[in-house]
Amino acid sequence: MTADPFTVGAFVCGPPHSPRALVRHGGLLVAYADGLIDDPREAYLSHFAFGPDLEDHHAASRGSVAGFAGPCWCRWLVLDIDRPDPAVALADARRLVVFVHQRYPDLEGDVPVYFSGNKGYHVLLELAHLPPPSAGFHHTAKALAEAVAAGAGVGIDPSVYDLAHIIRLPNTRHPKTGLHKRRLDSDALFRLDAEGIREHARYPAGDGIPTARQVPEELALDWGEAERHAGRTAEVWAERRAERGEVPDLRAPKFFLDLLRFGVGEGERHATLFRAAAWLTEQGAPPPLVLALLTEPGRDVGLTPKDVERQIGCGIDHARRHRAEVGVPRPPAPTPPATAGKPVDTHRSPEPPSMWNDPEAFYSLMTGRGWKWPAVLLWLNAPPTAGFFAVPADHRKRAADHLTRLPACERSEGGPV
Amino acid sequence: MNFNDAIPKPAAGSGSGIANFDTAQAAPEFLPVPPGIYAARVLNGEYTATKAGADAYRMRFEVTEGEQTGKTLVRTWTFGPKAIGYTKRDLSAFGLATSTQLLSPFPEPGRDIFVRLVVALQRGDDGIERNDIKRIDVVQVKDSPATAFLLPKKGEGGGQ
Repeated sequence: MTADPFTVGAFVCGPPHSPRALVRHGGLLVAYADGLIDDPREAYLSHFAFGPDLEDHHAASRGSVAGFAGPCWCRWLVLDIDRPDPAVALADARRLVVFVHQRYPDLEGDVPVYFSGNKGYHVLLELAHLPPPSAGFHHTAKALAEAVAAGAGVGIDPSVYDLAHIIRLPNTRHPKTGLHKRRLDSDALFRLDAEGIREHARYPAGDGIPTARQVPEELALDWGEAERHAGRTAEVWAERRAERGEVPDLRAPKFFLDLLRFGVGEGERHATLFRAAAWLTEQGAPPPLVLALLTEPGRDVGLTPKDVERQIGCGIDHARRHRAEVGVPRPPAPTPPATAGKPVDTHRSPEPPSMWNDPEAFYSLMTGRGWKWPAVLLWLNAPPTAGFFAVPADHRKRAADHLTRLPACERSEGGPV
Repeated sequence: MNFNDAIPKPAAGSGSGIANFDTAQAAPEFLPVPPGIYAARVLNGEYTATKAGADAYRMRFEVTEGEQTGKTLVRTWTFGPKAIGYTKRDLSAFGLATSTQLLSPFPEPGRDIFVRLVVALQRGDDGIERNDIKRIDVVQVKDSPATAFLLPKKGEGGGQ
């Protein structure tokens, strides 16, 4: 596969949540970098370029690129440094550029660096060896970028390697600061201080994007190694999924527990919330329960309500699609325990059928497991086919009625977990 | 190179949290805009539902000039038997003439639609004042130079 037909990009004119339009990726990027687009609005372009199949997906999804899973490609790999302190961000950007120069001497002087217009820098690593497009291209790109950044001792934002991620276009204005995303040549990067760079970014300029004059051999080797690393990671995940099979997880994954306990840092919030929603759905949790469990943690890490709802919704959809694709049936309905009086496994043991005839006993059981009143009620009111267990509708209704009438003093209020 | 030990990005930390509460500015109370004529642009239009669950189309406008710059105004059209004719008349002025267009992103990316709004101020039974957009005139439709790079839509003639 060659990069020739991979010219389709997703363009956003206005705030990042604005609709995506499909454009000629390379042409638009260069036009903005050359200062040919005279438009004061903020604008973004997808990090990766795609093939014609994105057009079909875009048309079928009513103008959305979310959920696309085809092959992709990019010429410039963005390493995004974002820090609350501008001086620290600048120091890290310099360190990263120095490392890239050392690692790939052929690129010295040709590494484009952009001030983002707020508190970060985009260091562009040109994939001059032109790796072919592939479905896992973005995973390889992430592995390479993280290895380069780790070599420099710098942390980068890992979320920019998501397939549909958009990056601010050069020479566009940042809505918060009014400053432009401006390219810094090596001289300016090492000579100016953070304030000088902000001054530099007051006006746009048409200074283009420098291209590599030589293809660094080391880059091709590193790309190959990154590809193998990304492949190994994918294999490990596939093995884990295969091992797990159709059996629901006995323990919640670490990322999920960490999200609930400690939150998650900027750059990983969207992806973690998405994964948490997908994991819960895979375990058979109905959408209202997923929403009830994850909305507050999502808000707590600083995401907007709209973002929270969207990430949870996308996670649920993703898990359902995956379930439909691989034909995984829903977790089976529990069978009654063989002997009465056996200790109850608070994670997985099925409830005796009589439990559903006794709403109070049911509620005690659920609160004993740490469930709070609103979550239990939401779960009971969820569509019957979406539940953990095949509970008869009339039993669910009776239990829900009981909970609705429960006096406030007897409710276990607060967060759902 | 080491492909196993990526350095996690530092958390946002100092930029958020209770530490900034003392110095933070209180947000202003929400107030409707005074009645009058406003220059505005279309932020977005979307197919939605009313509180009663009926189909509706909602358009948001952002005031672009004067003291109220940046304030948002909303107009909702419904599709009931009596309203649908008026809805069609009003939305056609924006080029929205088919249901497919109502379900597509609006305005199209890279396009700015500037309007003039005649806005009234009404008080509801609950005593709360709300704006009501009485009239909308499309003044200018401006395409970004970036639209020259848009791919032709499927079904449109020609190619690149």
